[in-house]
Amino acid sequence: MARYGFIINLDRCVGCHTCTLACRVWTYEKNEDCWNTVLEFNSHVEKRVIWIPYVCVQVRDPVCILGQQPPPCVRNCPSMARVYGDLDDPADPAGKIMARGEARPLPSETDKPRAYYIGRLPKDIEAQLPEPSKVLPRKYIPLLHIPP
Amino acid sequence: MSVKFLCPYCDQEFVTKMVLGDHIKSAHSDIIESAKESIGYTFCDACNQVPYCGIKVYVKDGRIIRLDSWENYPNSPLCSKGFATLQRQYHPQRLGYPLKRTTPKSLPDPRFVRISWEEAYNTIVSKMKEIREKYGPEAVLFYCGDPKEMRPAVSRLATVFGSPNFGTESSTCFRAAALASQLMFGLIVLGNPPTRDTKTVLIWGTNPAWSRPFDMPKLFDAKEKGAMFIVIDTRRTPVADKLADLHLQPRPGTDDALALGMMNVIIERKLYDKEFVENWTYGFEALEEYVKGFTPEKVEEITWVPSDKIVAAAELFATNKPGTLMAGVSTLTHTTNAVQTVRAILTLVALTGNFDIPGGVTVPTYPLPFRSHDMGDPDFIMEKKKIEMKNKRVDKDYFPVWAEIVHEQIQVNLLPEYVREGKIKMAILFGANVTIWPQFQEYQEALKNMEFVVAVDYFYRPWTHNYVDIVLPAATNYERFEPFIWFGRKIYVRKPVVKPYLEAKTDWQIVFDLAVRLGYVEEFWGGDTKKGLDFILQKAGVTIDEIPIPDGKVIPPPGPEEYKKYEKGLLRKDGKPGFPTPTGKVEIWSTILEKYGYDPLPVYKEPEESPRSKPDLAQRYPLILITGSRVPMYTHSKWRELSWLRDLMPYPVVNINPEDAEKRGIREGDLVMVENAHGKIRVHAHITYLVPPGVVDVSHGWAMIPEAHVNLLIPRVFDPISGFPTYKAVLCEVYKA
Ligand code: SF4
Ligand code: SF4
Repeated sequence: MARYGFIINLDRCVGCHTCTLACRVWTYEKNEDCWNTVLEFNSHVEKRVIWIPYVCVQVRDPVCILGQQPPPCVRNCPSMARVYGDLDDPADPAGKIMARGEARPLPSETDKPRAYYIGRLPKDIEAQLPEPSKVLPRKYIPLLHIPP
Repeated sequence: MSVKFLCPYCDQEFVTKMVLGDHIKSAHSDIIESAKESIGYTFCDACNQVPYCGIKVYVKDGRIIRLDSWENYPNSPLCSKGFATLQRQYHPQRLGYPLKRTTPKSLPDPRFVRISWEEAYNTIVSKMKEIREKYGPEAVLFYCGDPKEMRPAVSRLATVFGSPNFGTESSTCFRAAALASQLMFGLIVLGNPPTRDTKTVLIWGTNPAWSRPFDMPKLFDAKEKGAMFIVIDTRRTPVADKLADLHLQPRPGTDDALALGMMNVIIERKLYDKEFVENWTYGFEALEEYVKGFTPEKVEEITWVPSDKIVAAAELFATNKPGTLMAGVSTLTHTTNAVQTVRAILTLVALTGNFDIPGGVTVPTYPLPFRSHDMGDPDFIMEKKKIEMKNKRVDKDYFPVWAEIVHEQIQVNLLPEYVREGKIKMAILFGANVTIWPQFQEYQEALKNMEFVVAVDYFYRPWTHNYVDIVLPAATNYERFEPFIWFGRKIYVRKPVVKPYLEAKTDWQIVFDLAVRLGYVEEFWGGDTKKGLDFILQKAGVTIDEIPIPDGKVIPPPGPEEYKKYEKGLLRKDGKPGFPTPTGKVEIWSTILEKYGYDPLPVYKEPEESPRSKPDLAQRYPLILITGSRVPMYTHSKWRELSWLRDLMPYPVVNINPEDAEKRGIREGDLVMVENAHGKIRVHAHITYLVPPGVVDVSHGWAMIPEAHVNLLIPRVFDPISGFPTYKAVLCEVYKA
């Protein structure tokens, strides 16, 4: 069975939050929360800032409208830092990366993870990473206004 | 104002729009479901890029429900701010009606009341005539803040009315860099993203990840193809972190010295392009002499950049050719040596022979006959007439070089002076925010002291609008079609995708309506903005209606793209080889600066306030403060109204390095004071390796939190050539509040 999920490249994420807002826009009309967030950490070992995106599938299935296209958070990422696809299908771009064997889930994930990370993750950050359910969703912020 | 919210389907009344929204969702879901979804396209105005990014808009039942990036469009994808414009569109605090103040401007509470457009127009027109009668037309200032879309229309009105005093927010952004380039090349050349051929990318003082995310695909692409990246930025920005092979972190305000240090290496080691330097530059010998003093060791002392890195960067840029430059137009210019700093960096491009070669810093061979830097066309804004009126420019005695070169706009940063001297009596402001200026209280005072001020905006912003007489509601990018835009030789147009909110009107329409009422019926095509745009487009041989949406239209060039255009006589109007400068060469030694008594070479000058120029002050205020740097979720002062973005950055911060924070006992999120010789403010501390030790980066654009306003810490000292303020180099100290 297909296992759809994300591969996120930490060497590419520039912390621009486009994914978060794209998710916001494509989920609000369902009165849904935003299921993407990007956390910022200081690595004291490497003396640099690093951004770690968190995605819906770490908690639930995608809520955005999913058609043939990649989800909004993926197709609007300017750095191509994320891929969505069948992690178990080596013909799928996501599965192909999985097959290389470097991708790893968050340390807190145990059972059948659906979001994997590649790229440099400084050692001291790993210990700081919160569980996805602690940071997702970003709550629903209503659009207050409907034109008369 | 008490407004009732009527359900469009059953006329039931509601007290808030939220309740109405819920009602529609529950009671009329059938209608909503059955309504057909349609797709439209518009340009984004959430930041201030030209040309704008493109938005694909999903509309259902007259309401925008979803956004995406416009596919197959040059600037793509959208960014966080672009997506958030959906929330702006339906924001309850948007301005919907013209407002008139009912108290004298000496009183703090303006007590605005709703008026009709008729009354608003009549009042404005009669005031304009009155001021023109009393003081001459040049006493009316026309100003465009943000976005840029209305500039050509407003500029044209200023000219027709007889005032050369048209200014924009480019007085603090971009224009000084463009001026520097015009002084050297006679052209606006500020670099470009890499192409297939580029081997070295020099990114200087800009972080496209947060200011031009649509450039990131090109940058990552170049990286994957093996291009080398030199990033020069005081901060460890994501671009430095992800792309740099060499990252140089100069002390803020010393980029001029760093560029001179690199030139020293390039000249000493004879790595410069002799052919180009000999044939196409003016003033090389003087430069050669001058940079002798800028050895890497000396420059390390000045800039804090290790000398071996200076050497490595210089060698790489000079030898691993072609190389391109991407320069930050509003970082490098926010010091008291703005123009010379940019000239120094551009000199590197000239010395290395990277100008106008494939993969280098290029200019288009056959640009469309419009100008992107002012969104216009010299004939539309009637530039010839502006030049004739030059003597009535309020900036001409303060900034003579600007007044000579920058025909299309004045330098507005001395507005308080212009008003105090009685030269400006009235202002018409589009998208203006007076708190962008250092010591902004003086600018608020200036508005207060004018006889009449009109502002056009999306929201009521008290820090500006409390000081004006009339506020007009502007239609958003979803509600207007003007203007068109172009990428190279491809033109794109749009159509409004929804009706304007309440009585909001498009900026262009407001200008055209005013013009017609002033009697300029012919000059403004009887008020028809589309005819105005067609007037510009006729130069490209098309009309608005002939350009398909969303595909746009390519106007075929008369010939293939050429390089080394200076050899072929393609850069000068007279068709002779060379550059459109007084000497016909790239003026390292600027004859125009010389004429006005400024240093003709791109010289280094310590910032007015720095540890080297004011060592005593630095004892008390040891940290260097920079402000004005981009964050991913806001563009300068815009969009704090939007909870979707505010969610990501709820309050202004001082970014401080862990080392500096620890020394001061400051922890993440602490309230701290940032104090200097000019004032003090209170913000939250954000501890981050984004900034190096010794430098703090304070958020700007938070006028709604008065105690956090960073422009209270910036003195009113300006670059003598361009009049640019010094947002990027003052001294301060930070301590727990
Ligand atoms: S859009 Fe891409 S680069 Fe930007 S924060 Fe999200 S994952 Fe990172
Ligand atoms: S895939 Fe998940 S995170 Fe991405 S836009 Fe859809 S719901 Fe949001």
